[in-house]
Amino acid sequence: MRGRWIIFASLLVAMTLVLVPLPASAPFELNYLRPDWIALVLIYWTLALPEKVGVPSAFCLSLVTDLVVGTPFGFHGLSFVVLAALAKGSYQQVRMLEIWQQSILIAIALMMVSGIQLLMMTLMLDRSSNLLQFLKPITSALIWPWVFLFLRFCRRRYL
Amino acid sequence: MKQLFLERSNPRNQAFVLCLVSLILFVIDGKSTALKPVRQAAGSLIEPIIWLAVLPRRIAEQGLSFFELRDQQRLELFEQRRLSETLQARQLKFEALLSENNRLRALLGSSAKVSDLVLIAEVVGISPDPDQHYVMVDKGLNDGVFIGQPVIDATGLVGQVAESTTNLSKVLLVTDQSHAVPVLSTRTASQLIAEGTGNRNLLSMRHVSESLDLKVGDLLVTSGLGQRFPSGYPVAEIARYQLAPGAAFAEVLAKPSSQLQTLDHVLLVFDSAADLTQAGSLESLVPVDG
Repeated sequence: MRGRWIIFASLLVAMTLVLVPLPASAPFELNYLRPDWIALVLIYWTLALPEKVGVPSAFCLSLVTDLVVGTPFGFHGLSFVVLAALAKGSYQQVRMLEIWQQSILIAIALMMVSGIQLLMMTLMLDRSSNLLQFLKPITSALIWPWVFLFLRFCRRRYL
Repeated sequence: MKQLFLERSNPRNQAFVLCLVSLILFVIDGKSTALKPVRQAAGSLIEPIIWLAVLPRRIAEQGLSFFELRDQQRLELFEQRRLSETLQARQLKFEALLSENNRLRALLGSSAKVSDLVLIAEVVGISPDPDQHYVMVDKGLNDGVFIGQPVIDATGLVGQVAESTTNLSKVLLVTDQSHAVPVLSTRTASQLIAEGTGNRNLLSMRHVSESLDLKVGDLLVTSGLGQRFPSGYPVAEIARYQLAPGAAFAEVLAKPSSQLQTLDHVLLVFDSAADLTQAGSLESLVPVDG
């Protein structure tokens, strides 16, 4: 299929953004504010092309993400599958919404997913997580409009 | 249009099944080492992504050093030379001490201490998740790195190698929640275990009985028990000692010796030349007397 590379390219950029280290001089707590780029890009493509990107692709993406981020396999699996399933089930309604309304929905969905991840870490691996992790969904939702506009531009231009 | 899975199955069932698969994978990979070979093989394939993420910083550093004034560079070089000379002079004394120590050990009938060999590695990435403390370094299986290898820097113990791919390794820091290291206090030789807390600046000691002689400022070094870390490397300094009345154990917190937040180069420690199976990496090894 022509133009599929743009999906892979956008995911690659998202992974790079996740990994790029902050300068050593920046306070370490800033890391809690970094958006969940990969989840945002996944949500965009599921909303935009639900017939091509879906739950199975989300699962495959989650395995690569686990490797890149260094979490145990399956850590991102549950959340990405849930996000993709939600996006796929409601893309017709979500597409009709204003961008800021989408942001609110994304904040709620990512909050839920952060909760799942926190539970997985504490209940199954006995690791405590910092509650500051719940700031990520908020910054992700704030950055969503720009991600959305940029990826829509890319999709119209290249796909 | 091609898809990885056929669209025949009900998407909801599919999501449910994949959620279950994720959970099972998570427990297996989180609790056991069964999937380590898979991670190693797949990790080697995705190495380029990690290199890509380092690229911007590399370029920035190169750019900065290009614009740095020549005078300043000369000054820095001068400083470095002076430092190197001082260190070499101190090293001379250490060598004399080492041979004396070994003679005394021979008199006592215990085995002589061999010096450790180290390989210098550059930190190329840090964990994007603030609750997981690890760094990526630019040496991997090709350089003879092995799982569990101790990692130090100029100021103390950094951690150990947790995962390794062809050219990269993941170094678990001593402050990670899953990390623990046997230590002893240099003042009283009390044996302790220093556990990571998930806080970048703190290690905690568990089960410290009230009779142990410890106080704030005591230096903790690796004890060599457990055979994983060579003995004698500084780990932390006790920052807080509190014995609540009626409590079974004292609360002891320590501050790591090495600057774990601003690591840029670390040293991978090889116990002896026997660890080095891979040829070619020998030239880059530097002996450290300990």
